[in-house]
Amino acid sequence: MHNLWSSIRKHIWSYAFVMPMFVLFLGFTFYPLLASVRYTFYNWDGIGIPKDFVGFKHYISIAQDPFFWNAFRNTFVYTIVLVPTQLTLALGLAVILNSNWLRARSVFRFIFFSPIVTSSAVVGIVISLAFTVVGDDISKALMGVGVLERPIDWLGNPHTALWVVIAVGIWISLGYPLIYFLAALQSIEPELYDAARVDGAGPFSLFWRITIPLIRPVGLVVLLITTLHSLRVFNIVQVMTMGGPYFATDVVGTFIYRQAFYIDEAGDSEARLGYASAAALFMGLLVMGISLLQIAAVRHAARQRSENRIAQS
Amino acid sequence: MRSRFLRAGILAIIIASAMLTGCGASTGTSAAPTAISQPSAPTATPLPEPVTITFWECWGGATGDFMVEEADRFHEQYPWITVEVSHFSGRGAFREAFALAFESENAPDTFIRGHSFMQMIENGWIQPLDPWLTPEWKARFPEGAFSETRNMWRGETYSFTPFAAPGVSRVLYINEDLFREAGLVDADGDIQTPETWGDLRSMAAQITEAGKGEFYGIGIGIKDPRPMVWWFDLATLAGAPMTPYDYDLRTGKFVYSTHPAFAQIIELLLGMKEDGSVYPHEGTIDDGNIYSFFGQAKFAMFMSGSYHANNLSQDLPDFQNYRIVPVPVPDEGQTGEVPSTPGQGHFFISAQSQHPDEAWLWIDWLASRGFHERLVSNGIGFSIFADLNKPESIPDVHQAQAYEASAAHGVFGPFPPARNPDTALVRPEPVVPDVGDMLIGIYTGQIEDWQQALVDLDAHKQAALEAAIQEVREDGVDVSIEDFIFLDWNPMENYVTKPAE
Amino acid sequence: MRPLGKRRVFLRIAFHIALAVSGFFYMYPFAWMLSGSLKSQPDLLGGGLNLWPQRLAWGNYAQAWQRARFGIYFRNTVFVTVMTTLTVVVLTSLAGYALARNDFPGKKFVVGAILVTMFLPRGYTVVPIFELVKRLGLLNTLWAVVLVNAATAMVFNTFLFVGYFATLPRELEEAATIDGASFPRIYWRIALPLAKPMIGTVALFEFIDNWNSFFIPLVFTLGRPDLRTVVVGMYAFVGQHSTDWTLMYAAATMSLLPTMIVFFLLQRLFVEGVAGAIRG
Repeated sequence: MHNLWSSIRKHIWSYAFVMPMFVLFLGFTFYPLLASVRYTFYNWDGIGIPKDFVGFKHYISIAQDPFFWNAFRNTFVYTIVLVPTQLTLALGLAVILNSNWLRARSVFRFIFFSPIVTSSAVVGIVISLAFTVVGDDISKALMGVGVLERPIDWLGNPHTALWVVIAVGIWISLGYPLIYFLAALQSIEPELYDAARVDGAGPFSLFWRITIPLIRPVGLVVLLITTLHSLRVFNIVQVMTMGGPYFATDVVGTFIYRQAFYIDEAGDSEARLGYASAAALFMGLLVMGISLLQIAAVRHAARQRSENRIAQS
Repeated sequence: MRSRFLRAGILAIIIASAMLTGCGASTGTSAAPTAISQPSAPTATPLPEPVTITFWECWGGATGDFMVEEADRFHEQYPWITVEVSHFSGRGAFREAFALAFESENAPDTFIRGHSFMQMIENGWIQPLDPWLTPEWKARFPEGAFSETRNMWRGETYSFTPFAAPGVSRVLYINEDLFREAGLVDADGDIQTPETWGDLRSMAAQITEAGKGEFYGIGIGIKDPRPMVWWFDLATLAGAPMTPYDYDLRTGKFVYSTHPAFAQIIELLLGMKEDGSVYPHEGTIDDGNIYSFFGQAKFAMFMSGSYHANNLSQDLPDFQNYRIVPVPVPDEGQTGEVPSTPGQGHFFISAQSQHPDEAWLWIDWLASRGFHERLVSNGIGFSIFADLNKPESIPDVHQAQAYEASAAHGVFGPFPPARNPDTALVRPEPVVPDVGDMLIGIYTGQIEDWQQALVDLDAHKQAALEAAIQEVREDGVDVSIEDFIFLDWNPMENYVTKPAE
Repeated sequence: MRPLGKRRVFLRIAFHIALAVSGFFYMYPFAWMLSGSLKSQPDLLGGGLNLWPQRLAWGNYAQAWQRARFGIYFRNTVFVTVMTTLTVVVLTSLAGYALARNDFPGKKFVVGAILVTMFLPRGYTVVPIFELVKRLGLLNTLWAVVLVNAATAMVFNTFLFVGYFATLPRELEEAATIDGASFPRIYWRIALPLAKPMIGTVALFEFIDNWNSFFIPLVFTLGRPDLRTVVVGMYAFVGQHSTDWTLMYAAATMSLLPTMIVFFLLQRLFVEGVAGAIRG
């Protein structure tokens, strides 16, 4: 006990530094999370106080809902494709935009940053125009050659729609990891590179041996953030396809939105916020579970490797 | 060194200005709306205390501008009352903000209907207009304008219906030039328009062939499920049931899989797709942008609400050679009209309002002949006062066509809550997939066995309705499936729903 | 610099061109928004992908400014954005530093709590936060918007700073500790200057997020419409059945200008080398 108390006193500044952030976090992130957990046990339309207690009924419904699992699968595909692709592109671009020999660096940086400040409504329109105007020309050409029978409707074809959404997703948020990587690259002292070059290392070796390890902590955070953002994708899907056609691009974000904001013809809100919150929480727990499994697997594999090494030596 | 000072300086300026504006912003007085003019001539009698009432709407666009103009006109008539119009970008934001406003007692004085009327009643958000209403005032409106669960509850009147009823919400837009190019001209030199569903398919095919890839027969959007439901609404012309009561009102049963009209419409859609008559960008088209493609002559026909006439005249004023006609009828002949329910109220006074008398004056203004005349002449909509919708009063020829087309096939249908108001408490859970999504899936081929899908739809919807009735009964309310059955309903005629004895 | 061979120069020029071309396509929607703001509605709807307006409709800007009530909303937006960004940068850098460098009792609890909430959703209704703000008596003030926006940005940004501080070499801090400097002093003198790139990044993204935030400013100023922000005003052009695109683009472009300025200003923070600072 005495040890604990003296330990606390020793780190008094740490507490002072962390407290403000933590207090805000508790009030505006943790507390709403607890509140929304409570909502998952009710039927609630979002107005007033939830009164209709249903226990675990929502969780059971979701686990059995084929539309939820369809959305989950699409979200999974979206994330699995987007994260490695976007991060690789962003890192490569960051290295280029950081190079000394690139002219007009500020301009280029803004160019690749610009999608972030373009509203998704604009993006949706340009995409639809691009597909109708340019797509028409391409399709006509392909039809003239005999490859296609009728023009392809990229966003209306259930086989192509998700890939279009993924491509747009990569494009629109590339700026985020790009800027984070640019910042991380700044922390590397140029002397390290110079010393390595003197030793005869080529550009790839520099990249793998120096850059990558040094930006790893930030890189891991960026990986985590990008993954979580992809799992929560909503805006671009809603604007481009509304989750369609017939749920071909439905992601968990649009699935939940439909539950939470459903309005029927008469204007009745069939808002099922309890169900929506349960679906969101269910998804969160699934993701957490999968991540924990992965970490456990990686640890297990690492332990195996070190055990093997010990055994061999 | 210098650059660091420079940056610090800039930062300091930003912070300083933020603090200054911050002080101003949090303690400042509320800003007056932009174009209000104070009366210049002094009046004989002293004016009452100035009052500001708030009005929330989420229409935006031309309608939103119109409301702001009307608020200014109102202010000229009642100089001591200022109506502050607050715009919300869409129904979702409006509804969420609305509920929160009432909880924090920041509710607007007056507003349009965002939630359904019954929800507003249940939450105690609105107050009745009876303290100010007179029988003469109500008598100005046509029969059927006031009904329980739409703008009245338990004998008290909460609002009025401003827009024309009954009416068909959908009309058909025809590009005259493309029709001519396809040779669809009759002996008198006027273009032929599709009268039947069969016409629709054959004409679309003919136009597409003439188009050779430059233009197509018809435009359909599959991005949003709601416009897809409108295709099934056509089935009402064959006597089948559709929104808002999509079960057969004569039997209380769902008939998607048994009434032939639904299968005919699905075959019509799939047929047009197979013919290649549909503009091949269905996935990018929704009700918000379909008119712009039409206005660029990408396709010759589309079916939607009458509001696109306004959009076209505002955004593509040079595009004039189009016509608005009623939607086509079944090949075998028309055996039903499109049933409407009595209109819902649109403008309400909040139960929390501090200025109900002034709020009433504004509501009264919105029910005045002058307002309705301007509503029609500005192309905003069609008035409940039918005599104001004469073609002479509607300056835009296309608006006039739209009115004719929507008046062509509308009747009042049976309305269960008029007979037993408690039926409004029956709310069936939505079926997934619902009609709109199902039609999209059938159209793209993701649902192959659509006959089975219709059978499933009937079964699920029936179960949902019966479960909803059961739930209401368990709360002690006397409702049964009988309340939803009208044996004497003739789909070709107006039906007057009488209250239960 | 070593003298470059001709082949190298040629490759570099080719690379620049390739980058510029791909940059053009990359930036197309942004350019389209700019060009759309200067078009008339028929020009925009009928022009397809064409970037050049038939006639420059400068009047769009004046109209958009007036109808979206930019004059009032601009002030509010500046206040909210600047105060929130400052709060976030200060609080998360402090917390990130302490979490990265020190191991104190309860650290695992803090990190664990934050990690868990990163995975789990914050909820689809603003009601709990609304109640909290109401109880704090802050409804209908801009401070409510600052508080909520700043609070919701705590988690991600703290993690970013943790990651960043973990990367920095410890020699300087160890030297300072031996010299007897206290923890806050080390933070202020050594760690913070080294963290400029991350500060710039966090500040930039917070600025953008806050400048464009729509729902929170709307919901927490329901009783005071004069406190609304620029994006809320922009939505005046979005209607239920139609949207006034050209005016909305003009409004969006005007709204964008401060963000662009901030980007160019802050850029220098996260791109100019930090190595010099370490030497000095």
